[in-house]
Amino acid sequence: MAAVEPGAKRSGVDLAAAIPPFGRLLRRRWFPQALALPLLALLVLFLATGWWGTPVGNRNGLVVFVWILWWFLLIAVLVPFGARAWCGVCPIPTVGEWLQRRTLFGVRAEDPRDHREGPGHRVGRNRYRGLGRRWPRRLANLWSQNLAFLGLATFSPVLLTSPLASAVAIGAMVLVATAVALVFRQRTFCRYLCPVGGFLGLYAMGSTLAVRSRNASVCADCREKSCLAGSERAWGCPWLEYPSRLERNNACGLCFECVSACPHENMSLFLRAPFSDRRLRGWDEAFKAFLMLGLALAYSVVYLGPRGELKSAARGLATGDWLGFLGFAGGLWILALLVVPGVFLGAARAGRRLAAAPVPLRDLALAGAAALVPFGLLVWIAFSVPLVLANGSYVVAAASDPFGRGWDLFGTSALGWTPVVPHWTPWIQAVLVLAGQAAGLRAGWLETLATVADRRRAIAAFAPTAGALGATALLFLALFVG
Amino acid sequence: MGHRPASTALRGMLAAAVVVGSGAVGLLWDSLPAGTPTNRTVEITARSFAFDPAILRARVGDTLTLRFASLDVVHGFYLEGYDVDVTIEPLRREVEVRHPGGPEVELAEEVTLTLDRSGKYRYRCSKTCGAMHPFMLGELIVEPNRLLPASAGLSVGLLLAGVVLVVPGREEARDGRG
Repeated sequence: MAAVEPGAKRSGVDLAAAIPPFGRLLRRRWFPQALALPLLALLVLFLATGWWGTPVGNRNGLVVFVWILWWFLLIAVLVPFGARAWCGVCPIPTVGEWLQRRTLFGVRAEDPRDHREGPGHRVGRNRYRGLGRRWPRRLANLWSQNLAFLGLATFSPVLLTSPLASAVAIGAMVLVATAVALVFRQRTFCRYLCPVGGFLGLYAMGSTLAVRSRNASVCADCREKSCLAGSERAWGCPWLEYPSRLERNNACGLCFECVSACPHENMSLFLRAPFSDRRLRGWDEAFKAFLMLGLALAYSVVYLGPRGELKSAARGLATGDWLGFLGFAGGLWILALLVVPGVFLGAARAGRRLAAAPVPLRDLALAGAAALVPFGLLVWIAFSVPLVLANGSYVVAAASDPFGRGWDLFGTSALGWTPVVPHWTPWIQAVLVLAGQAAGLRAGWLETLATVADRRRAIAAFAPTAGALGATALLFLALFVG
Repeated sequence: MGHRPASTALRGMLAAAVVVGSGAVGLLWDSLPAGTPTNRTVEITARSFAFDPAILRARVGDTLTLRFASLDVVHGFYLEGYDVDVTIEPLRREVEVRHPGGPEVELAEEVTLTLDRSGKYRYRCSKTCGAMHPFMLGELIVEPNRLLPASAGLSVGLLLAGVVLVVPGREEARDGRG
């Protein structure tokens, strides 16, 4: 969705208007936060299975439910079709958010002209507990999340296979999220620190759902700004965004506070074409795109490839093969931080020279990196497909016996390993890579055209990036189907 | 993008033809005449977390006789698309062969497969053997693996189609829209 001029109505299907009961649901105080409560109970259960359950990864509820089921649903369903819907119900920040609000579904609102001091601090018209510090401006970007995700990825061979390591990592995220909520404002952890949130924000740009204002002129004339400042009906945007000006999905956690808050009912949820948001705003976002592509490539080689020595090296941390682990970690970091960025920045530089375009290299590089948003999302889905087709049956078995202690809660614990049409995998992967390439070419081209303005120059400027994207697609095809 | 509707439709059709044509060229690329089918015996060795050979290449019509050995713990050998699941015990030549499509289990020293489907098929360990068990796999490539050249052709076709769609025509350039 492009920026909407004042007075213009937004394109896309306004779901709240099209389905009135759904619109009413979006304005309910308990939606979607109430869904986080059962998920919090499940999280506690899975942390317990990780801590006290069987150490055999593919029999442990935590590893199986989180790394097979949740991961696949997240990357292949929720992000493409629900943007950051997961963030709206994620149980990790729930405790911290409750400590800030001291109410599950209520709102603490005050008149901003009332200067009486109460406990906690006031942001807009809402009162919160905790210190309520602002996150340092210097860190208000994706760099911390980029590093955190790269760190998690480095230890992924242990995290994906060791229930205890998974429990420690996820438990630590809950603790950090809670501590950050006590010191900083609202969803600072989700916005600037959560390792998962970084790539969710990037790939949510391609989602078919978006929270936006219905009519920009209504927002322009609005005096209350309740979506930002909160009201007696809702909290101000917990994601520290100004919802009426949302034009990208990146930092919208689909909590629908703005939908509840708006006195003009001007905020809604829109169904729109995929890959509608294209513009990357800084190097941190471009590097997130580079990093994710590099990791998808590395994971496809290590986890889906046939080379056992790579798998052994990747798990060297757990087996004492320090040299092997250093090789794996070094390779991962070099690929993600040097090789992939080098290729696409080199392509942008070559394009700038070819086009003789009077445009800063940064602008051209960010326009080219827009191609990696749809492409990256679809190659991550392609990477994840065989994990669920081959190993999905572990989920069914672990549902009956999440601790691996011989229980049979639903009569499914004896189900053996049963892959589902695993031989379709290369076909599905090929379709996904090609769809990603097509969507990536479109996104990169449109952004380059918007940046360069002159059509002939834009063609020359984008040609090297298109070539690099094509070469990367061929590389993935060789890995997946060759 | 500022084209006239007729021109846009024409370009769209041309671009689609370019993509389909490139995919078709990719398909033809590998349709070389197959050689005489051969019979081969392959020793497959399993160890945590790898098979040796890691990649097995053959042509459609070939017959493979597979023998198995495990160097450490009990492993499995499940071949995608061929309905074969073998349990391999260390220090034992005989293996347990199961066909997931049917109930019977048999003991055998080797498994013979006639490769009647081309493409890429992964063989995976089907018995929990350690931490990286879900990722213990090898690849059987049965040539002609048409999916690779066809998809590579489509990939190149997408680039060419992009050129068709974005390069301004003579009229557009003359109109100053280029």
